[in-house]
Amino acid sequence: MALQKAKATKATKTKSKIKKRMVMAPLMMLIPWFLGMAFFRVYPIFLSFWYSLTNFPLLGERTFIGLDNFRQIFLNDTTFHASAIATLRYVFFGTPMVLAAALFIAFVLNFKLKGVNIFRTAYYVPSILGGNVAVSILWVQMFRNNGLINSAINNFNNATPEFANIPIVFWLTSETWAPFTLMLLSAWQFGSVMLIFLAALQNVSPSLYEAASIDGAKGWRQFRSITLPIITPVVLFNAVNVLLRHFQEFNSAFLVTSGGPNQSTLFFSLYIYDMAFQRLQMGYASALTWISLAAIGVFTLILFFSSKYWVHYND
Amino acid sequence: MTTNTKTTSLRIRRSTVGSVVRYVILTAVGIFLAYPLFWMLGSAFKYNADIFGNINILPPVDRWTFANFPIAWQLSRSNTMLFYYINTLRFLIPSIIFTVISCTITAYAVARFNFPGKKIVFTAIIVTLLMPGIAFTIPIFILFTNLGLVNTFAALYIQDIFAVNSFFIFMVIQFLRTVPRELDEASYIDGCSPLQTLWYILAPVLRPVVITVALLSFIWGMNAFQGPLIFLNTPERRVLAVAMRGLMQDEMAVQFGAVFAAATMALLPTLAIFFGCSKFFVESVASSGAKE
Amino acid sequence: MKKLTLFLIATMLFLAACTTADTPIATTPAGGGTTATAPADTAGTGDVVDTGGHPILDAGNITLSFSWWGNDARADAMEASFRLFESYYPNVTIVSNTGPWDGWQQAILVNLSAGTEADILQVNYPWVHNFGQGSNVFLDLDTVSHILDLSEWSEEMLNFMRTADGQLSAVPHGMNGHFLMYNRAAINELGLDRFPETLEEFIEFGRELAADNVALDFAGENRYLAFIAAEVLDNILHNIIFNATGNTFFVGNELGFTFEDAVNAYELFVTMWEYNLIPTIQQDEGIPIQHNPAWLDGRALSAFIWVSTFFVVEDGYEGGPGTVDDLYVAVWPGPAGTPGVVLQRPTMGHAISANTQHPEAAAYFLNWFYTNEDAISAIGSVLGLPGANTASIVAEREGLISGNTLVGAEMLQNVRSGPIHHFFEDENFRQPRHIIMEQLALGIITATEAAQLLLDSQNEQLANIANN
Repeated sequence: MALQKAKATKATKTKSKIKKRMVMAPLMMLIPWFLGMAFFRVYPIFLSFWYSLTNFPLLGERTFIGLDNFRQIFLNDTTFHASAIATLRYVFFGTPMVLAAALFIAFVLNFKLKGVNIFRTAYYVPSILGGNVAVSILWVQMFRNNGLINSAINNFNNATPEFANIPIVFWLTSETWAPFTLMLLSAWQFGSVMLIFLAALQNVSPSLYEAASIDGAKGWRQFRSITLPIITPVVLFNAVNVLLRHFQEFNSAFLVTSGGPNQSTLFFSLYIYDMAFQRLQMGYASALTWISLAAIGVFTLILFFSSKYWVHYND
Repeated sequence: MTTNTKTTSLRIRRSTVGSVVRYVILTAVGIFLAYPLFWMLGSAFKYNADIFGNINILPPVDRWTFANFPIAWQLSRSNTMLFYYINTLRFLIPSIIFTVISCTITAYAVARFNFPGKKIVFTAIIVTLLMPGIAFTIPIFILFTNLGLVNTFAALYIQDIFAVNSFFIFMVIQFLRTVPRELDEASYIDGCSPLQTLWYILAPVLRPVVITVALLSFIWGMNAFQGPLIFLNTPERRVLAVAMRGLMQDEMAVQFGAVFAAATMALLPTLAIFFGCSKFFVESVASSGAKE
Repeated sequence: MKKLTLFLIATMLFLAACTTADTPIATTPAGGGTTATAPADTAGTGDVVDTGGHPILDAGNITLSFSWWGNDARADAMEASFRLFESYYPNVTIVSNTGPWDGWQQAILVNLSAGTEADILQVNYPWVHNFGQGSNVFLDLDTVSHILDLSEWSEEMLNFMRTADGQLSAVPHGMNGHFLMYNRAAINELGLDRFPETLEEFIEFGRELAADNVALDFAGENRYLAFIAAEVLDNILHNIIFNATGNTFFVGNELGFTFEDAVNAYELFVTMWEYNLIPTIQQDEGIPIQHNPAWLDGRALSAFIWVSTFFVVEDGYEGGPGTVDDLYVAVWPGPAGTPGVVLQRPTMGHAISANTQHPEAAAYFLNWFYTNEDAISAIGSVLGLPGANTASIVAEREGLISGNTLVGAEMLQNVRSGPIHHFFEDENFRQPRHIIMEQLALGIITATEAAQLLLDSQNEQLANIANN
């Protein structure tokens, strides 16, 4: 945005003509976008707001009930509370996890190593596989109680009984661990986040590092005191991205845990889907949609405002 | 090793150790990430019992089977995989073309011009990024019904004409920020109109991001399930993702090996295209995080 | 600017071209006078072989769409029956709207919302009651009973498909029952010579069997008396309540059991998990029974499955002790002195769209579908056990169903059964029950607490329904 001010050109004669065109042309070019916005976004979202004020059994009579849905959601709906906790936990713990994993790999990749390009591309493959049916089967195979990971732990414990006794974990059937397993699944698809970090790291001027190494800063300290501050704007960008993705997460919970156990992975979008297409309460589902919209908005804004304190802009 | 020649031997040794550590980390992470892909490939050659029994990539030596591939290829009694692939392309190709054109034009208008209400437009693009798609399903379906679009491939790409994908618009805007403005300004002075400028001057520069938008549309479109299921309900318009889900849902004993064989075959073209375009891809995804 | 306008116009034109090229075949928008024109003679019963046409079908060329979900085998059978009908009535074309079950409910809901549903619909039992919350969203089939011969079904069966306002939404294809399937070879292998017949025996057998079970079975040695998947525990709850009270879960608009009944039922679950005669949540890996190593190795002596999926389990049974012939069907046992019980529900039904332009032709087709012997043979068992009179006679005579499926079909007729109330499969009732069961299984709540939660949650939904 900062760069938007067009610089005056030297050719004064054509200037006014160009200027006029510069106002009309973009508006013309935005006509399709504007139409799409109106019909496919604004209209449905306002319709959904209207639905949220009604009792609307899908295919049945719609009756206006004011804010009853919202009252019910906030005061009486224990499933909503469980769902809010599940979603927020996933957002608060999952987002830093994905960011940390992506940043770490970007950090490792940001050196002149042979074959880096191959790794860089290969690391994107899980993100392509993302919605594939095969992935959900695989994750269940890995994380079920007698699955790969627990078997490996068990074998390790049996092989070295004298000093190792790693506890076995119910990855998918314990309330504590199931959300974590889904966070892992999300972290596994860090592809684009990592690429964006990597680009930012590559833009850090080498002269800064040279200055730092004269001062004796190395490794982790150098990363903390020099690299990290410089890339904070990119951290913010990625944080917003991942936050949004996590708030709207649906697939993993739907395919791998079905929202369980005991609603520990019943994310908002899954609850909304259930309400709309399983329990057929469109009005209630619409109210939930608006609450989730508001929550997303609030958290994004908080992130933006907090950025004042931790994001460093040089220019 | 690529360190400069003046370094002492100690330094060389330290940097050698460093890069060995890095390779070990990279390879370990790579195995963790690529494992599923290979497991899927290997499972295409397994019997059911070997898929559920263990987590090895390859089936036991004496229990290889190649029968899964013919089953997967003949995806339903009446049609082969190719038929469903072509059906998928029948909505995906228009969808990609429209997405690329509409998103590029919209992004160009927002990124390069000053006009009244620009802030609002930009905010609207960001806000729609936040909206969960589930809110739109029923109103949009009713709208499409009134337009007579149900059970047409058009139902799956008509929105793309109108640049509804804010994520792609945002991506192109971010990429445009890395392109010097002097380019277009020079073009205007030479008398080019904005669209001419976009086509002749900027398009070549935008190639990486355009390819990326197309590639991502392709990947997501190949996996899309709900839209095709809702909008296309006759067998002759069934797309690959829906047909594959049908294979898994088969009430007869499901042959999971065939599911993986089908998944593998469906994925191969995507992977080939991805690796072919990876240079552009990496470049433009990276630019989307460029600071403001 | 001119170019931009041109571009937009070109876009629109291209779009228009694309959409007209793909004009939908069958769907007909709402409206359509549903009132019959001169109801023709009810010649539609019995075997229609007159290829000369029928008054109802003489109106000219008609296209009927038929929506159904299912697999390839079903596709073959359905298409075969459609082609057969078309050969009798060349002026009629039947087209399929079809997809996999996954997500199909959503697709149907969206289509119904927009009025673009097919003329004839295969419907899941709860849809009849839940769609539109008790008001009929489908054509009331009583209005076409002069064409569709309803005497093919018992009044009892038809009542499953009547909505709260008494309208007939669909005709049921047949009944489905939830049985235990034992593996005789596995039982013999353990030195047992018979199946447990009472609940007490059931628990005793299971307890001995599972004495050495461990929470995590890496060695694959755990034994279970009954392998019951987590998602069907709810049906066991229904069975236990029915055994104790003789009532179905709901009676009219009230619960069919008391707080004490619920406590006892949940305590029985706790016992079953404690003795490990069924897998705990941690032991249940969510693997379908026909692929489940515990079942295929003969370590699970029985599995709890629908009669409609018997053939899946039988087809998938290879390896392990014994052969398919060793599979044996039994009912859920009751306490000593009381008979066992089978949970029953309609497999599916067939409905006619309220928006169809050809209600009589659709009814005529359905009547043919259920009474024409060739059509019945073409369908075979792909839609489950047939329940209509002609269909079941033909199915039996032609040997369309056999083995355990036939045994199950006969048991459904003779054994004490718990036909479910439609509230039971309403997700607004079911989801709270599912959560309570999970909490109980995880030890978060006691049986008493579970019973209280059950009563509260179910009564709350009942109150919601009463208020609307």
